[in-house]
Amino acid sequence: MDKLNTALFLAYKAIVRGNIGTTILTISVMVLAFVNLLFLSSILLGLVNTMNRQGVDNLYANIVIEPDSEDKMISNASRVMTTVNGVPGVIGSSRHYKIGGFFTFDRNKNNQEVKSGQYSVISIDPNKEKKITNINKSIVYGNYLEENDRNKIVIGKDLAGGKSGSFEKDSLGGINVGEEVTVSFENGVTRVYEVKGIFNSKFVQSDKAAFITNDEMESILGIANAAHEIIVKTEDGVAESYYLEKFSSMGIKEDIYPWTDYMGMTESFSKSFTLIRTLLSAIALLVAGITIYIVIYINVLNNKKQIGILRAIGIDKKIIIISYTVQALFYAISGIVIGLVALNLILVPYFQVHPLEFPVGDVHLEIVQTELVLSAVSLTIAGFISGFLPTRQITNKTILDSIWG
Amino acid sequence: MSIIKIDNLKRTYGTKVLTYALKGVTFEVSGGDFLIIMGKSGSGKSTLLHQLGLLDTPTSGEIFIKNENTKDLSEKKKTIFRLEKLGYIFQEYAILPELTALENVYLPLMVSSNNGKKDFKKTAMEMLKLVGLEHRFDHYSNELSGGEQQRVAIARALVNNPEVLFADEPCANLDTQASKNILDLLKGLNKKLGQTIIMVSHEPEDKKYADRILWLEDGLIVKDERVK
Ligand SMILES: Nc1ncnc2c1ncn2[C@@H]1O[C@H](COP(=O)(O)OP(=O)(O)OP(=O)(O)O)[C@@H](O)[C@H]1O
Ligand SMILES: [Mg+2]
Repeated sequence: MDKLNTALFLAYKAIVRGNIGTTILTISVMVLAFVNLLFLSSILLGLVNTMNRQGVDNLYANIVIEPDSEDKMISNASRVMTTVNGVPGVIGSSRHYKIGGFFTFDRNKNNQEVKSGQYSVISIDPNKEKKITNINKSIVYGNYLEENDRNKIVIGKDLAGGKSGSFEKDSLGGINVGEEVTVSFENGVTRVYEVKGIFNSKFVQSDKAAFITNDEMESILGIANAAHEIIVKTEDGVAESYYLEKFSSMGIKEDIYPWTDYMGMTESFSKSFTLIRTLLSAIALLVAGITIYIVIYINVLNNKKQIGILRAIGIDKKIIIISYTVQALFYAISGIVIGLVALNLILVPYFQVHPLEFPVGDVHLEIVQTELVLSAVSLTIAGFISGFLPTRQITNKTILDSIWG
Repeated sequence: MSIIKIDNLKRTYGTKVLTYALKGVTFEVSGGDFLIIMGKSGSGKSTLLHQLGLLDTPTSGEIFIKNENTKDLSEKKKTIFRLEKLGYIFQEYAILPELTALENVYLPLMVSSNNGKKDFKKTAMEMLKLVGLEHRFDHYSNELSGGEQQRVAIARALVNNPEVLFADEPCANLDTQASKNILDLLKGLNKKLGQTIIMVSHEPEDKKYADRILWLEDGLIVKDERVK
């Protein structure tokens, strides 16, 4: 007890009386080491989560019902939707037709400057769709579709082109709201539409699509009450697999898939990212560990003479080792605490306001609690080792070597 | 009664090129003596004091402190010995810069088993008064003169009531007046409290403080002189 008290007393005095500049520098190094341990990894996670969220919000909702492999379409779509909507936890569903179309935009109507391209056209019930996806919230020019719109089309910004430039080559070169576009559908029907709105979901996969109403699509296809897909939105917190079983048990014969089945690209991204994140963390931890070790080692080395004097006057080695280990832990833990504050009060809010703009959407810093704890624990351990090893090494020298050597 | 007895003490430095710093030194010190070790530079004075203060391990020979053979002591026991039975004053003012004068002095009391849990701050204050620093309790080393720092070191060395106080040229870095004050202080401790002191010096003038002088030359005692 006397020993521990004495060690803590010495550590306290060393910190309080130590050079302020050195203390700030040491703690800054710890803060950087800690933030570095989490930063890149959190951005990569944010990227994966953004891709997933964008897929859910703009294209697939939570569950996608498709015609079973024999059929080309879901017939009697209203029956399926009524059944599905009755399941507790289901927020709503919407049916889509999806068909390819060749778009032509002749700006001056003189065949001089014709832009064209193949895109997919998705049809929706505008009001029902509002509950399921975010297209209506992403309109940046003009307006969203209304139920009885027939010769109106809403297109993604990468299809419209002209404004942002990232996929300019394939776009219609900057078509504006109110201008007309000709669409030749795969089944041979050709129609002219007025661009009613342009949306920007920031998700490359949906920003290349176009939307018309289901009524319009049914007149093109000559069909009614059918769908190429029905997407279902469910409340958060219940696994999709629960609904898959539930829907089947309620007599839905069509194929039912969770949204994850459509995110093959993200999944493979996500897998590589996990590997990269692990590697980055391992390297960051190593760098942090070595940095901390060097910083503390220099501190201990600078105090070699003092350590010798303490031993000469009969202070037990253990007290000296504990004292320096406590000092190292103090630096490490201060770094962790300040790092936590910096992350939560500065970096996370900063990226909330100024997200990184990727072609899949806005990416924020997403910190996983377990990684946070892991980083804090590993840095604490690094601090412990950095205090313990050098001090033990120096106290193992002879007293005279410490004082004069 | 002899407090320290050393027998054929040798200390050799180096592995390839050997330096024979002590070549076989034998003597005894009685309790209450003020012993000064004198000799030219390089004669082995510091080396001898390091061995006696248990700061170094002799190559051969034996050191008895209060009839205990220090050769048989474990590292841990030696530490306790240094803490509780020996006081050591270095030539440089070896006080800890992060502690106040008072803290420097009571540090050894904090860990000593014979502090009897008494108020160590009070004991340390008394010690500082004894060395004339009652007005410097809360000063740090950078706020103290060399002579004052050396007094703190003396107070710290004395605080556990050591059997022997070692001092290796304690006045080497001080001016004449400060030196005289320190030596008078040591002499006073020796006279009033009966403190055994073994001091290294190469100032012939210091002879007048000693009860006995050991002359060292080339690692050997060449003269053992009792003063008066
Ligand atoms: N660590 C060491 N390694 C090698 N040789 C040493 C070491 N310490 C002392 N010596 C040598 O031992 C001899 C005695 O040294 P010591 O320091 O005891 O002399 P001293 O009498 O105290 O001299 P001074 O009056 O200059 O302090 C010298 O020749 C010195 O070079
Ligand atoms: Mg010397």
